Amino acid sequence: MEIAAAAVRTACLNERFEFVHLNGSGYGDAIALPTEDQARRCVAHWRQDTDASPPAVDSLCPGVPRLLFPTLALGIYLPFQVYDALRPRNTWLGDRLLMALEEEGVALEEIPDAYYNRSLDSGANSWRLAAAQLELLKHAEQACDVKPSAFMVRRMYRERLFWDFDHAAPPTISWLLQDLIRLTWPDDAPLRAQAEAALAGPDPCMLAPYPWQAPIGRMVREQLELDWVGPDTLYSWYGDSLTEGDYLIRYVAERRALRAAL
Amino acid sequence: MTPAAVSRLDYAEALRLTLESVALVCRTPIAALSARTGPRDIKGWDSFGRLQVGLEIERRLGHPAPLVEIIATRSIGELAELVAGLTP
Repeated sequence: MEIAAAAVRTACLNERFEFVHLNGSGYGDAIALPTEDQARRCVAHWRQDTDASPPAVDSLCPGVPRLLFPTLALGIYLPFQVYDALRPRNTWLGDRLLMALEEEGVALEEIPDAYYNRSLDSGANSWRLAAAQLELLKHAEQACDVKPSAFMVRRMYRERLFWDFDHAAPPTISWLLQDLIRLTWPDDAPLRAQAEAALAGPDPCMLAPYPWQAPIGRMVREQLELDWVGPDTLYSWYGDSLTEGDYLIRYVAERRALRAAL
Repeated sequence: MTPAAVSRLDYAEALRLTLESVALVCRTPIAALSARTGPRDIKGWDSFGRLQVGLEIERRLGHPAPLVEIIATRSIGELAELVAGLTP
């Protein structure tokens, strides 16, 4: 979804092409197939390698370049992410250590230190998680035209590439969009140059800020030696900007209130 | 804590280790799990959950495990069979 939205917001692409996003979340939503007119005008088909993209779509635009890219996911910043049924809209952006601390009744002011200590006690190894993620990505990209693992290796320790496990941040979206353009129109150097220029910079995709940016925890920062995030880094929480410590406390306080209201 | 590497497990031991790992990662009571339980039965056992389970199994075994194969398993029993076949 973010790829289509970013393409629409990139003027040099949007002026020449209509981008049609054919699927939603992959959670059983109805598939919006292209209209007959769109299928007739189709010049390229970019497809994510996921069960959510039905094979039937492939036959609707015959004879056009078809490029497959793997499902992009990277959980190294959030090693304890898990489904939290208590959160509003039953979000997947829970944290199992934080959920346990909430349920154990740990005082709010003690949560940041308790979370850090619990992270260390868990035995989690961020380097092993990173290597495992890349192993799986390299396996997945074997069947795809787009191969993002080298990009991930180069950049994931230098900047935030994902907001959570499977929601890519702007640098990743920008890279993927540029690679799709490169592979789709290899001989169109002007288009590639325009897209590269448009997608450079700190906010290349002009997408709305991701509403819930879970913090990169102290254990992960220390293990991976990430010097571009720290305890004062601000994260979005549905309109508020919170430090890691404030975020952890807010999560526990809200969850505690939700559980009390059951 | 880094557990000492354990030698090859029999199926019962592997099943216990697998159940404990899934329960921990997915925050699900062990009593709610069985060999027949699959990723579709537990909301927390998505693709990242399966990876976390694989890493937790590695941590408990004390040696690397084949994560691509672990991710592909479709039930706790199938995963336990895989774990039982692993050697340090």
